[in-house]
Parts: sequence; structure tokens; C-alpha cells
Amino acid sequence: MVLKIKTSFLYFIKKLFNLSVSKLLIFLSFFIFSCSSYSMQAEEIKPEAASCNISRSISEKKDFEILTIKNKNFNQRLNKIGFNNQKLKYNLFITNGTKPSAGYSLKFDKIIKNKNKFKIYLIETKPNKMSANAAVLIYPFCLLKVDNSDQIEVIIK
Amino acid sequence: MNNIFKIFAILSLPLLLNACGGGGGGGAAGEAVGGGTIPTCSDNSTYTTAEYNYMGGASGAGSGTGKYGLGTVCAGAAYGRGATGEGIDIAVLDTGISVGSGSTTDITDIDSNIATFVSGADLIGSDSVPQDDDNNGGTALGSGHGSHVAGLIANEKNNSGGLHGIAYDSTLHILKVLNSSGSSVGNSIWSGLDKARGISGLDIANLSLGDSGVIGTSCNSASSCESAIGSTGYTALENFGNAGIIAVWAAGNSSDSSPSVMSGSAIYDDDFKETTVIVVATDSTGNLASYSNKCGVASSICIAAPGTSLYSNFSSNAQSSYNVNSWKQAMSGTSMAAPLVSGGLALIKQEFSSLTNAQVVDRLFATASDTGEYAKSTIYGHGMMNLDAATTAVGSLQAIGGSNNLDGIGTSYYNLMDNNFTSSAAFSNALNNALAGQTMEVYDSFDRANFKTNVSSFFTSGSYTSQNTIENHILRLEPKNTHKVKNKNLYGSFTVETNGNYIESSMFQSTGDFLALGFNQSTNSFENEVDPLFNFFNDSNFGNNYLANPYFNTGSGQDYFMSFNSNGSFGLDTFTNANGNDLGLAFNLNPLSNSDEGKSNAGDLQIVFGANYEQNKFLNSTSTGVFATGDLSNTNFTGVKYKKNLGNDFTFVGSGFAGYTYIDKAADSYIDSSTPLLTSEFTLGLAKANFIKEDQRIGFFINQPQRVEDGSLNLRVPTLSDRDRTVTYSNLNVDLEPEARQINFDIIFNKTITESSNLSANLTHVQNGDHSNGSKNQNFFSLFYKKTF
Repeated sequence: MVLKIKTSFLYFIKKLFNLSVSKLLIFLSFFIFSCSSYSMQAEEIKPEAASCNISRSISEKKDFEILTIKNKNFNQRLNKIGFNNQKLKYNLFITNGTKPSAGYSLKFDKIIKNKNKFKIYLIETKPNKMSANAAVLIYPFCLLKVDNSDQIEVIIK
Repeated sequence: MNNIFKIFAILSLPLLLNACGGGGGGGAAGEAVGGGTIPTCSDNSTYTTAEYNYMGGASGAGSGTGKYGLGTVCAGAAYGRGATGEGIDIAVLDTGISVGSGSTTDITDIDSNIATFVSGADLIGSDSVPQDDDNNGGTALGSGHGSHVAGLIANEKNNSGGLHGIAYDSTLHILKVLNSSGSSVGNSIWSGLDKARGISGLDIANLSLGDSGVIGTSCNSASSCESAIGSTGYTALENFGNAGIIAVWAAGNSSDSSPSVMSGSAIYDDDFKETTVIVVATDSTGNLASYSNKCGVASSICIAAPGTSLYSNFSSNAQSSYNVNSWKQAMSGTSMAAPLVSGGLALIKQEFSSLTNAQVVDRLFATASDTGEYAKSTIYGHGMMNLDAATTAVGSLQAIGGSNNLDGIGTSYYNLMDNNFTSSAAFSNALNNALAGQTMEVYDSFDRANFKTNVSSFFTSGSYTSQNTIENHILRLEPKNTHKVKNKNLYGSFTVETNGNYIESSMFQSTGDFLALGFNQSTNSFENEVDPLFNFFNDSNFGNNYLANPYFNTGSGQDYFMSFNSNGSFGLDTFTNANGNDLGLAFNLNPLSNSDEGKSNAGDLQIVFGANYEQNKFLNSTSTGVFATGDLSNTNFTGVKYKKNLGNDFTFVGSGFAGYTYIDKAADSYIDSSTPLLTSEFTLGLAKANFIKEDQRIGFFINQPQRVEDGSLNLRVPTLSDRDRTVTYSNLNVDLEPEARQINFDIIFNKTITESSNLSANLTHVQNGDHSNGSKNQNFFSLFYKKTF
């Protein structure tokens, strides 16, 4: 499920400095390469839309799941959790599964984009150990709209 | 001499032309939900409405009995018995409730009057408005958990919302102890428990919440659980239990083997064990929901109820956040199962005011369905809640023997079948009218749960018209074929009259008619002497004993008489029944000359006065158990009989009796006191021998059977019992004078065909205004033919 985004640049700067060409050429080359390198680095982007919420319409246990709008279950899932009217706004559904009580939640943190790959960071809140919580099945989830949802990695902290 | 009598042919047709009608009963049988081990309910279909069904299945729930949700726990059967939660106070410790604009009493977010609460507090925001602030800045984290739970308990019936809670008439107290995320803050739970404990009259607290610990694992003793919960919380739990308030906890949704620590700690502490109920959740199949914790080590205080996809309130804020249009949404969890049990306890509590809260819990557990799948106590504890069984008798129903204390050492109980009162027809109609609609309490043998029953159910009515049976008409019309043997000697005569093998009478009569001693099955021989009545009055069953002393007309008819006849001037009758329990004594004065057999215009007058004593009955009204009467009820009576030959074979007869009856009160009897009962009876008759022909006779008679003219008795019956196990009795004054007066009209015809054959006919017309419509006039006709071989 976690998509690896390969980001690396291997430069043999030291070797280049050892060459007997002019420092200016080296400098220019380094400068040009640096510019090129900059365009390939991951960047934090803002989703077109993001919303996290909790559904209580789920009556059975469910696990972590990512659904894109291309998935045939996408609309069905939104219908089931009572958010069917949201489907036009979002193209990505993420949940960390059913939870046994209140006190659990998901919160959108950030998206890091690298080329056409996205690393989505969500924050999960859990109830305090000996706190009392409403004993209802809940289903925390986040809905997002991103440019490209083909390759995504979700990291829940 | 052996006379063999055989009935050659009998055509006896008592026809009830305008008779009382009887009614049949019926009941609606319930149907099981989903089959398997889910209880089969005797739900009352009046209550299994669309609102009833909606909780378990949205708009597609359909109709009919036995649907998932309320149908699973047989709530409809409890409703049919009058249990709706009315008068029962339930505290909901949760996220609060959706309070309408400025209101503190209504949920007015969707529809007004969906559910109401009478008090509330916010232990999170420390104010008096327990607002279910579920929107939480647009994140809708709380999402109306408290509103949903409160609605499952007490959403009102017949509102525009389309569904009702399980105890739809109960009274809610809302305590907000969870924040908008559905979590407690600090000691908010325990502060809420303390607050609930201070609510006057509170019976039940619902706690659809819990922690992530597991009882038996996270802690396994009172002390270790106190350490886990903290002393503040544990003390609150103990105090709550000591106050006798029932705490209903959700078991938790982590699929653990036992409930959470907060709910399950009661298992180790007797201070709150007997008033703690833990609830596991089932799904629509009736089996444990996949997410639900099991009862595990807390099985002795644990029960199952539906908790999956139950529909209830969905607050307006949540609607806005979710942008849905319906206020009814389903939620799942032991949070949803717990309020069903809280409401179920409210129904039991309302139904049985005599039970302590601990006994209410005990009854809930004892009546749960525990067969099949539900026999797995480590999963379901006592089984599936069954409100049908919980609101019916466990063990046998019994009447309390006059005590004010349900649990007193000397308190006695009688099985219902051992408490009877069979009333005399002299006042049965008045008694029936007085008892109509009157109820009293009886108690089951399990925990003395109080049940209402009709007082009249213990009473059986005597009826004079019931004497118009085929058998009685045959006896009435059947000419006696007695055999009389008379022996004379120096001292007098000895006469024995037999009927078959039975002695009808025997009499010694001294020379000169100075002394007569005799035995006769009929009380009086008064009517046996004058023709033409001899042929009619020679058996005691004739004409409802028209001429017999009604105060001696009790028991088996084993009567004795003794007369000192000096020209027939006076006599003495004695009476006793077969058991020897009753005794009567009557003096008969005959101021006229003795009847002159065959003498034209002969007449006879007899004046009677005497007393009758009846053991454990009065006026032949028998009673047992809590309706028993004393050993010596007494009747003082007087009467007169007159007969005269009018010539031309006509004979006139008349009799009238009156008496005062004093009922002897038995200790602890529900028949508490009475005024003397004045009774009367009269008969007028005219008979003619040689009617048309010599071999025919006819008679016409008017009779008013014995009737109470004045008097009443006071019934002191248990009508109320409370949680202190104290019984309150109410007085029910019963005027025993019937509103109407029954009059019987009889025409009897008899024809001797041959010496060995006889034909008789009897038409009886009965008028009694107390009878129900259509049967105030009754007619009976009998035709009888007898031939002796």
C-alpha cells in the first residue's frame, strides 16, 4: 500500500572539484545542475479539498482502506457512511478502520508531492487510556481532492 | 319388596329461548425474529406499529410483530400489559441531548416533543444546559451520541418522528459528562454519577460508555479495580450502588473476552454489584455482534440486547454537518444496547412497584432467554433480554394473607386457586356489579412482584336459573314412586317411606298424635298433606324448593324433624348438613287446626322462627383462603306458610320468609366487615286436581327466590405495594342488594296415563332485570314421560 517515491541525486561533487577545468565552469555547471536538482525535490502541496470526519453508520468492523474515485466502491462507501452528497467534491477516501469508541479521530496534516506521487500525512487521535468514552462504533475517515491520485502513500501518525 | 323402576322414554327439552350468551377470548401470538434463539414474543399487535418497528430497520422495517429491535426483546408484550416507563426516572450520562433554541426541556431540533427531559446539567461546561454540542466547530465528532441514546430510551410515541423509544413515557434526566468528542473530561463521569445520585426518585442511570481496559485482566479484585479506576471514581460507584440506583453500562466494543473495567468492576464489589447491569450487543441475527465485548468474568451481572444499526435521533447539528435530511440514523455499539436495557428495566420497574431496584435487576436477569445460543453465559451472561417473560409471573401467583409486609416472617400466601368465593344467588348480581372493574394485587412466588387482577376473578356467581337444568326438571316432574310401610302397636304407629333403596322419611307417631319423631330428606312435611299438591310437592327439588325453608336449604339436605303434636299446635325442626358443620333450629307454630285430609276448605297455617349457624360460609355462600369467613355466621329468620283448599279441587299455597344474617369475620380475611344482611323469599301458588279429567293436574306458581333486601360487606383488598415492600389495602364497600328482583313463573301439568305410566310438562319463565340484555327473560320447557315396569 505504501508507495515508494524514489528521490535521490547522486553527485560526485568532490570528483568534479578535482577536475582541472576552470572554477567558473564548475561553478556554472554546479549552478545549472542545482537548478535542475531543485525541480525534482518533494514539495508540500495543498489539496484542492480536504475534510476529515467520523461516521457512525458502520455496523461492522472495517480496516484501513484507501479508495479513489476510480474505484467502483467509492460512491457506495460514501453512501453507506452518510456522505453521499460529498462525492462531487472529493476523489480520495481514506480511513483507518472502525474504532470501538468515541475519542478516536483522523486529522489531515499535509501532502508531500514528488513528481506525480503523493505522500499524505494524517494524524490519528486516540482516547486517553483510562478516560471514559462513548461506546459506539465510529469510523474516522478523510476525504481529499488531489490532482493525481494514481500513486499515493498514506502515513498515519 | 323390590320395585324395579325403569325409565322407558324420556323426552326432556329444557329450551333456553332467551338465554345468557357466552363469549370467547383470543390472543395474538407473536412471531420469532430471525428464528434461532431469539425469544418468541406474545407481543400485543396493538403496539407493534411502524414506530415500534422502525428502531430496528429504517423505513424498510415493514410492519407486524417481532421485528428486530424492540421486537427482539418483546417490548410489545410489556406495552400490552400497560408498561410504558411512565413514572420512572432515568438519567442519561452521555454527551448531552440536542436542546432546541433556548429550551431546556425539549428536543426541538427536528420535531418538538420527540423526547423530553425534566432536569439536566452540563458537567463539561459546568452549566445547566446539557447541550449535545456535537458539531464541535464543524468536525461533528460527537455527532449526537447522547441524543441517540436518549431517543432509544424515551422518544415519544405517536410523534411526527416515526419511531419511539423503548420506554416512551419514562422521564429523562440528562447529564452531559462526555465532551463533543464523546470522551470524559477529568472526573466528569464520576461527578455525573454523584449528580445523578442526588436526583430525587431516580431509579436508573444509563452509561453508554466505557474505558479500554478489560475486567479480569486489567484488574481482578476490588482493590486492583479501585486502583485502575481511581479512588474518586470508585467511591462514586460505591455510593451510587449504596443508594440503590441501577447503573446500566455498555460492555464495550473491542471484541474483548470481558467487559471494560468501569462497567465490570462491580463483579468484585457487593456494594454495587446487585444494582449493576452490563450489556453486550447483538446484531440482527440475534448473535453477538462482531465488535461487542463478551460478558466473560462478569457474566452474573451481564445481559444481551440488540445494539447493531439501531435507529434513533440524529441531531440537527449532525444533520447539517453530514448534510443529510433525515433525523433518524442508525448507530451501532453496546452504547445502543445499553439504553434498550435501561428502558427495559424501566418497564419492569413500572409494572412492579413492589420490587426494590435490586429485585428489578434480578428479575431482568432471571427472565432473560437463556436457551440455545444464549445458554453461553460467558458470551451473553443471562441471555437475551425478554420483556415478555419479565412482565409475566415467575413461579405461581399468590394472594397475600392480610399482611402489610411482603417479606414478613409471619406473612402467609395462598395460591390463587385456593381463594374462592361462591356467592349465593341471593346477592350474586349485586356482587358482580360491585366488583366490575375492581382490581387487587396478587404476587408471584419468585420475588413478590405485584400483579393486578380483577377481584371478580375469585368470585363465582350462584344463579337460580342454573337450577333449570335437565336434571332438575326431571327431578321436579318425576312422580315419586315411593313405598310406604306403616306398622301399628299399642304405643302408636311407625311409618317408613322409601324411594328405591333410600329412606325418604320415617316417623313414629304415638297413639293420640301426641308425639311424632321423624326423619325426612325434605326439611318440611308441611306440603305433603294436602291434595292436590301432593303430586307436585313431594320432592325437595320442585319449584326451586318453593315452599321449603330457604334458610335450611343448605348443605346436603340431611334434615331431621321432631314434632310434639298436640292437635298440631307446634313443632320443632332441626337441620344439619352432611358434614355436621351447620346447625339450624326452627320452631313451627300451627295456630290453625291440623290439615284435614280430604276435608273441604281445610286450611293450614304455619309460623316459623329460628336460627341457622353456618361454618365458614353464610347464606350458603362458601369461601376459602383470603375470602374465608368465620366459624359461626348466624342467620335469624322467621317465616309463614299457608295453604288452603278452595274447593272445586283448587288449592292455594303461599309462603314468605325473612331473615337477618350476621357474617362472622375470619382473621386476616379480605372480607373485613359487614352489616347484617336482610333477606326475603316468597311463593304464591294455585293448583287444581281433576283438571279437565280426573287423571290430570295443573299448577301455577309465582316465586321470588331468596334475595338480599339490605346489607353490605366491606372487602379490604391489597391494591398497592411499594419498593419498601409495604402493602396498602383499600376498602371496597359492596352493597349486596341486587338492583332487580327475580321472579319465576311456573306452570306444571301432570297426567296419569296408566298406573305405571305418567306424563308431565313444565314451563318456567324467569324474569331478572339484572341479567344482561337479551337474557332478562328466560324460558324453559320440559316434557317428561315415565313408565314403570
